[in-house]
Amino acid sequence: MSGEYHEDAELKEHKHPNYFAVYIALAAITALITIIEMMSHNGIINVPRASLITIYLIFSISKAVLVAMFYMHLKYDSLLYTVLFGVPAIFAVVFFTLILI
Amino acid sequence: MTVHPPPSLGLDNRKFGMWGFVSSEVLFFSVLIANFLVLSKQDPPGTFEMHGQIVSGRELLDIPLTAFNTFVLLTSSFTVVIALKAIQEDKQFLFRLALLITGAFGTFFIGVQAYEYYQLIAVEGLSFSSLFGGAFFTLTGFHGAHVVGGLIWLLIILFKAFGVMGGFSSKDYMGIEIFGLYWHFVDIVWLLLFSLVYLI
Repeated sequence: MSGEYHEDAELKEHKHPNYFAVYIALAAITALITIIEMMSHNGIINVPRASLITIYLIFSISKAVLVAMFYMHLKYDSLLYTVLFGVPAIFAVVFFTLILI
Repeated sequence: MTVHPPPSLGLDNRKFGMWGFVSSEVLFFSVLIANFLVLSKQDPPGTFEMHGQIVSGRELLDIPLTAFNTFVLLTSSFTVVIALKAIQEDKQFLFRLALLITGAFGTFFIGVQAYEYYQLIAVEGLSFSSLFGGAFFTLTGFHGAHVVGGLIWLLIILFKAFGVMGGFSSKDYMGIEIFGLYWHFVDIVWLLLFSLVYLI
């Protein structure tokens, strides 16, 4: 494989996003849902299970979107990559939602 | 010298190929996760016991330990993107250090997974033959195999990064970018697994 780097024709010149800020956001969301689950499991808070599932799903999808957009550079790269990744991802989310309902 | 025509889509074929592979993996893990969501609650009551009490399969899982392990994998994803940024700016020391930390954290993640498997199988008595156990070990096992595969790939990259087989630079970093796409995807899968398997 040639080591030469072929610049994607559609790659936009962009400043690097603040990767550390993204990392902190991901860590904070993970900590939050863990704390919510531990408090709910131990009876400290009383949240309906359906609401908990909705919260966890929304937060998990948000984390996945953050990683895909900023770490995998989907925000700055060709729209084709977004379609290639996004279509099966949307299928997966719809699939899980139908199972969990 | 061979002259290659430009790719018809204007995109680097290697990167496009990795995105195509990631797409197929999304479908692969979707099916495994769906399988788990359906089967994990189908065991008859009384199948699992902990401290003399009848529990569900999910209650055998160690959530604080797994939450910590999720942070570990998240951090390794951060260090991969730092490594890519570093090599794009020709900062070789930071590049190599970030890759080493990624490898260390990824290895630690697998170590904790192995410990969790030992606890579940040898201590809690979770069996592959139960629906929860079979679905859980299949799903997390395949994810673990992907992490191990990524670590082997990273080892090869480290050889190159340290000059054994050439090296990387701001003019040649496609290998890092492609590896990063794979590693971030493995991280995304785990972020979803943590919620769907351990919390829900």
